[in-house]
Amino acid sequence: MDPTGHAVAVWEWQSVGKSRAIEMSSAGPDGVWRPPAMLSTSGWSARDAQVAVDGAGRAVVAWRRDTIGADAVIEVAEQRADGGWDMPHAVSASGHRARRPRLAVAPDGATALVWEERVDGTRVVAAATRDARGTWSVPAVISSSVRSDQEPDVAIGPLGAAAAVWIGRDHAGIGVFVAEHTDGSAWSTPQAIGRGDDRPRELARPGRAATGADIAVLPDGRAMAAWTLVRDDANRLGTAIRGADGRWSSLVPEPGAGGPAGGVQIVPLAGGGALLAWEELDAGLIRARVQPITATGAEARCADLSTARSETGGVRLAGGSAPVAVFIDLNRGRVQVADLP
Amino acid sequence: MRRAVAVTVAACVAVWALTRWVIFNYFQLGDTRVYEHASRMIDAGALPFRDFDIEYPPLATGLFWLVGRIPGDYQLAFSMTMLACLVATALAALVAARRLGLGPTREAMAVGVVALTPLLLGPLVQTRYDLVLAALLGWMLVAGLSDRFGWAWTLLAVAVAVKLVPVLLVPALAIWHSRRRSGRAAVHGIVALAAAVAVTLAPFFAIAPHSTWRLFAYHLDRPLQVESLGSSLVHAVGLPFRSQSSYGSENIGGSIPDGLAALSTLVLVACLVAIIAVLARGLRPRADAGRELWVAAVAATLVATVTFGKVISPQYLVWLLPAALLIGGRRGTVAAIALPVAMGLTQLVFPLLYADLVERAATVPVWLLAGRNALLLVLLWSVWPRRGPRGRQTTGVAPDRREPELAAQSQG
Repeated sequence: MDPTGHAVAVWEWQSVGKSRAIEMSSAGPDGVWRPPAMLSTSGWSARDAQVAVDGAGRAVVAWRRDTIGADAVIEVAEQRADGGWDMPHAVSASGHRARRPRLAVAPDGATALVWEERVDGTRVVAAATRDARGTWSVPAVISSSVRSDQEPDVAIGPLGAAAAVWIGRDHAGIGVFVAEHTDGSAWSTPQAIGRGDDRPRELARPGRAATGADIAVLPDGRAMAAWTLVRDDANRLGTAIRGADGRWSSLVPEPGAGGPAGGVQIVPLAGGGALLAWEELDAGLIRARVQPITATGAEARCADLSTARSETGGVRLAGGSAPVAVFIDLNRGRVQVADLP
Repeated sequence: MRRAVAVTVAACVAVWALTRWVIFNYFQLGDTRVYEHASRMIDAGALPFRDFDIEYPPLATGLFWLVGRIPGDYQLAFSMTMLACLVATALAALVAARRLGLGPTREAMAVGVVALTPLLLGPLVQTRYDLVLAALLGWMLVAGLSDRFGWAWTLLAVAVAVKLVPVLLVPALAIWHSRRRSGRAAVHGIVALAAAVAVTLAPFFAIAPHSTWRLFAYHLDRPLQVESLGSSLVHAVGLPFRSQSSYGSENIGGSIPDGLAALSTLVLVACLVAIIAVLARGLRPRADAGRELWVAAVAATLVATVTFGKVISPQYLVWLLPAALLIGGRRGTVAAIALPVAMGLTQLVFPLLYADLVERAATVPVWLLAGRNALLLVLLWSVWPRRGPRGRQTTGVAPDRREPELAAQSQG
């Protein structure tokens, strides 16, 4: 949704006997949704759609399109100023199995796109960027010094500086890695901002919790990342912030109760700082939690979204000026929503 | 016998260890994610159905909680519990095979297939509780073959309270009991089973009737699951359908799949009626002959239930242990070969090619699944109870191949 209240939604759709396709619809501030339109090319299987909107309400949609055999490419469709859509085009190189695109769009239209790619049997993280004039870069592997990388996320700041985060393995073992990109430059060499004994596992609860790392760029240009990695035989929550000097450091105090955790998400707030959400096993129950993060570190207390004798998880945040948390009541399989202060 | 028991236990433990720590040594949760959730909720003072939804009967939920009492990691504790159930199932196969006089080769096949199940079906047997059912039904067979009907009804009652589906075996046990003892004794057995199962359900109906009823409605309302026989037909022939992800599974909907779901249910009912009819007409009062017929009726009931059910989850093949492996004669040999092959095909489809099946990304899993489901039909044919010329099943098993004490018992 853009600042004026225009919204764009994308989804996968499959008719009987046909390939899976990506469709979209949009709504104005009046809340009336227009008839859906297909974005992906007919006859090709497309999935994993992501959408982001710039400050003028123009959307970019990215998805995975299966090509030949096991190969797949990442395609994007871009909305024009008149509201129409350009033809989709591939941004990843052909001949690989690309998957799980993640997309971020700055207010001026600058865009960062990251995805997983299988090259010679090894998973790497690749990225492409679009400048404010709408020119896409050549795709590049950004995890060159890191191998077996997975589940990347990307964020972009108001000035077009992007940061990508993922979980991977280098010569020192399993870690969380960050690469950064400023307009006109190449992606930086990845640096480890967290270490663990193993990749994150799913929490033992109904449904599946996300296991990837997450990143947000704050309005002042600083970045925050959150993740879980296995330490001491359980998933542990980790967070880091990149200060004005460009160095990454852990948040102090560390959020959470130190129990097994998963499903982390971090979103920037309009007034500065960020909101962190995760699910954590504490006092015998899995609880969805939200915690405001100032630029200097975690606030004193996190907020439980659970009621007594209930488990909650799958929390997703919407940040900005009116933050909202959506989460699942695991006891009853219901989706719930909570306005956040 | 002691040596056979030791070999059976060692084989089960060895295969389990091999599959858990060598072949499938990656982290996996399977359905333990739901079981552990239930265990944690009960620990926190919550009651099933009243405070949280669960698709399993109360006694199964109690089992999940009991596993949580075992110190250490829940997943490992659950896996070890299922190992114990695998051992119990294999031992039941061993004892039942001897009671039936199947002979050393068939006995080894029955025990061997049970022991190899973790390898054949894959890691899901460690993360689903279906081996509890196999163990209970295996020893129910042993009890029935030994004329210990109190135990047989008790084990069947526990099986029903744990998984509901075994209620379909009540007619077969009742007919067997009535022929071996009397109709009145069989009625007592039915009443005792109904009372025992009611005791496990009644408190939850009292405190949370709507949620507890959902336990039944959940399973009755499910659409045609993607691995079912009807779904295989739809995919193989290329009939129209629409994908549905619901009830924790991947399903297909539309007028044809819905019609096939109703049709397969009708076929299942017809099969169950036919099995009961064959058993009732084939068993003579108080005659020792007919043990094979009763075991075949139990096996056929289970195979028909799996084959014509709207849902064939991979772990449902565990229900066929050990009954489908205890059929004598050439058809029994076919069954003892068809079941492990069907298990192997099942593992190829789930989890290895499941994503391709669900996303229609390839035709190979469609045909593998069709082959698996065709094998289930072969299995049903091979275990189907048949009356011989004098009311006995034609199994090819000579009476003197049975255990000596049984032969003496039957002559007395």
